[in-house]
Amino acid sequence: MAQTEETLERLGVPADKLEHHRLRLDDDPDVRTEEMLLNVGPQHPSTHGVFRLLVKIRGETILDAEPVIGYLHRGTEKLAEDLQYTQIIPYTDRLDYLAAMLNNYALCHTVEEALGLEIPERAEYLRVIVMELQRIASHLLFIGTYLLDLGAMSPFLYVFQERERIVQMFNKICGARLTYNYMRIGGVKWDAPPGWLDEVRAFVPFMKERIKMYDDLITGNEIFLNRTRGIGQYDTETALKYGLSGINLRCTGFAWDLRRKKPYSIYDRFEFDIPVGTRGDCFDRYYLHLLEMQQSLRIVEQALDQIPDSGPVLGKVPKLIRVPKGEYYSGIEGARGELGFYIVSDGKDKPYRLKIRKPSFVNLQLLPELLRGQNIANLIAILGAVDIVLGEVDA
Amino acid sequence: MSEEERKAETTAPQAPSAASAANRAAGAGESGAKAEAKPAAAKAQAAKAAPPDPRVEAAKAVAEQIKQVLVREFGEAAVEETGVAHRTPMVRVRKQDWPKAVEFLRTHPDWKLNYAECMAGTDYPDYIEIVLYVQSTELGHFVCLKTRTDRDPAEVPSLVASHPGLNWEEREIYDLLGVRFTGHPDLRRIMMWEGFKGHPLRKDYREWD
Amino acid sequence: MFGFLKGLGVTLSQLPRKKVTLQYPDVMPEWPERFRGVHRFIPELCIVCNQCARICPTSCISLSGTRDENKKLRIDTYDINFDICILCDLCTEVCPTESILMSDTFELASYSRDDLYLDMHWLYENELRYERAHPDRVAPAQLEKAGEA
Ligand code: SF4
Ligand code: SF4
Repeated sequence: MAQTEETLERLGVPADKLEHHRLRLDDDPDVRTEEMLLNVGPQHPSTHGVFRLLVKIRGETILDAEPVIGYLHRGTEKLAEDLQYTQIIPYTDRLDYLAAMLNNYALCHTVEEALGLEIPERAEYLRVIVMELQRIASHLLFIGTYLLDLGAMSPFLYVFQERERIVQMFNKICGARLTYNYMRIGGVKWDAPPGWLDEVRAFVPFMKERIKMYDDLITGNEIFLNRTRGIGQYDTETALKYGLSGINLRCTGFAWDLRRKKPYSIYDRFEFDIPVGTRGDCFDRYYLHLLEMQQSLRIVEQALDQIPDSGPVLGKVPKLIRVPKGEYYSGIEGARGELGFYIVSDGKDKPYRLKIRKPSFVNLQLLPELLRGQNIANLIAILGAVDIVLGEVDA
Repeated sequence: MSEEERKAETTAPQAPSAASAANRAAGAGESGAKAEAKPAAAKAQAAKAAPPDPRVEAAKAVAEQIKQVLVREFGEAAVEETGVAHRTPMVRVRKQDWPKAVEFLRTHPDWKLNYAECMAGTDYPDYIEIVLYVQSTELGHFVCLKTRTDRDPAEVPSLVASHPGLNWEEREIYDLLGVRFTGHPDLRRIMMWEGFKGHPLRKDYREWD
Repeated sequence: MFGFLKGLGVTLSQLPRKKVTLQYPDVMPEWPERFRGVHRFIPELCIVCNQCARICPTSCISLSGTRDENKKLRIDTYDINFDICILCDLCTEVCPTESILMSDTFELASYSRDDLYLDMHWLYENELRYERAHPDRVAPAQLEKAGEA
């Protein structure tokens, strides 16, 4: 332990903070002198935000890791207590900023459930279309950044082409590229502009081709396979115990997708499969992102066929939304797992308490478990595959 | 390595079980879903007069069943309240029995509430309530479990032993609401920094004290 | 080795493709009509109803008005603090007279935070700039009004 203490001192950690920084580890008398504390982050390109990982290593083996989060904590839950329900929507944009549409929807969905609102057909379809496009955009970025973490530059540049097309479409429908604030309680803010749906329709075959291209480019690459196969493996039982959701759970072969298990919106009208992995390793997690994009495209296609030609996009909603007294929880399948909002209302126009069930936050807990005993070179491969967005982890 | 081997398998989704469907059926027609009648806005009053929502009734029945199971195991005093949280069966467990009850329901063959979905703490004027939404991935039950603690000292036994995934959730509740989880392996602040004073999500928190 | 070559093939096939990037700032991006950039404001239309200031989630709008000789409310000051504005568009959504609107101005970088405190005149200038840039998007009635002013 002495070595670690010195390291901490050298890092300028004050003596009274040592306890906080010390890693909890059974001391092994033989290796004391070789232990080293490695500080990954908070500013590190592959942490995808401000995330700090204190890694204790011996040689190249990771003995323990301790994630330190909270650098991006903005107190969204506290802020929401002072905001009307409509005003909270722009704040949800900033949670998982790669999948803002899904966040918008998760909040609106919970409030709508609480109010028992009827959503106009066209709005539902528009929501599904933008949500699935958003899922694709988010998964694309995962693939790009994950490959970048592993040292492959070009996929990162390629994915931005398709993502740009999606983002441009969002820009046309709601006027923003990242923080959409598109959904409203009871519907959506804007109907699709003329020609927008055709644009989406044209995007689908293009995207299908590109998915095939990524499959060719990445999936078979031996270097990639060697770096991800059998790395960061866990089984369904562990995943369930740790409350993992989304691809992190499905990669173990467990078909748990809230779009099917607890159907919300109009997902029961579409045909799609839930791709699951077989091994629960980093490769499966990567590959599921590809497969899920295909399924999302299928949903978008069906939604485009079924969407009514016209109609209102915002239901009958009182001007000031008051949620009846009570507590409400509903989760949706976000891009990273189960995204839920828990609202306690005292009958006013502002929530008494709003809690966000943040998928990245929950998924990240397994990280130390996965890293223990691994080679240091696998750290980034494992961290990347957990697919976290720090805006969401820290909320 | 063959192509097939490389690709992850695709399986068709399984139909959700009937029990879970009753638990969480979605749609319109929300009435005063809260079990206990408390004075609310005039609109809610009118809604309460309407015939009871069958989904709420079903949820109440499920909550009663859970109560029976828990009472048989831990005695009459263990269950303080049953009802519904919106359309989810709700059971409030006595603080002392909290981890035992959760673990019991996690392993009980009829319930198997093995997947903790959401844990939240809420600061009410007289008490702090801990809410846990648990799901049975096998049987499809979705239940809201609760417990209460005084605000001062706020202390609840930890659930990390049965649900390791609640580790950070409990740390977050400790950090933001000041509930001490006894038996938690690593109870430290998580969002705020070490040395931060106060618990921001408490209603009486003031920034500049 | 085969997978590796297959990937390389994909990379090579990208070479003859057209560029997809934009040489900003030499070439400016085309923003769609709904784009939410910095606000523009038309003082003549404002009825000082205060709805925009009330809906704003970050409370960054401050305004004041007085009654003129015809007992009509006229806007005197209208400031938006772009330090904290999150460009959420809720203010333009609630404005009954469409006097506060979004423009396609998006370059807000500045050396001082004080520069981000934008007043009515700046916002009106922005409106004029927008009208010049997009004569097709401005409603004729609105154009007339602006012309009178
Ligand atoms: S865009 Fe949003 S944050 Fe900005 S002034 Fe309008 S309401 Fe306020
Ligand atoms: S909402 Fe429109 S009319 Fe009312 S004060 Fe604001 S800008 Fe003026």
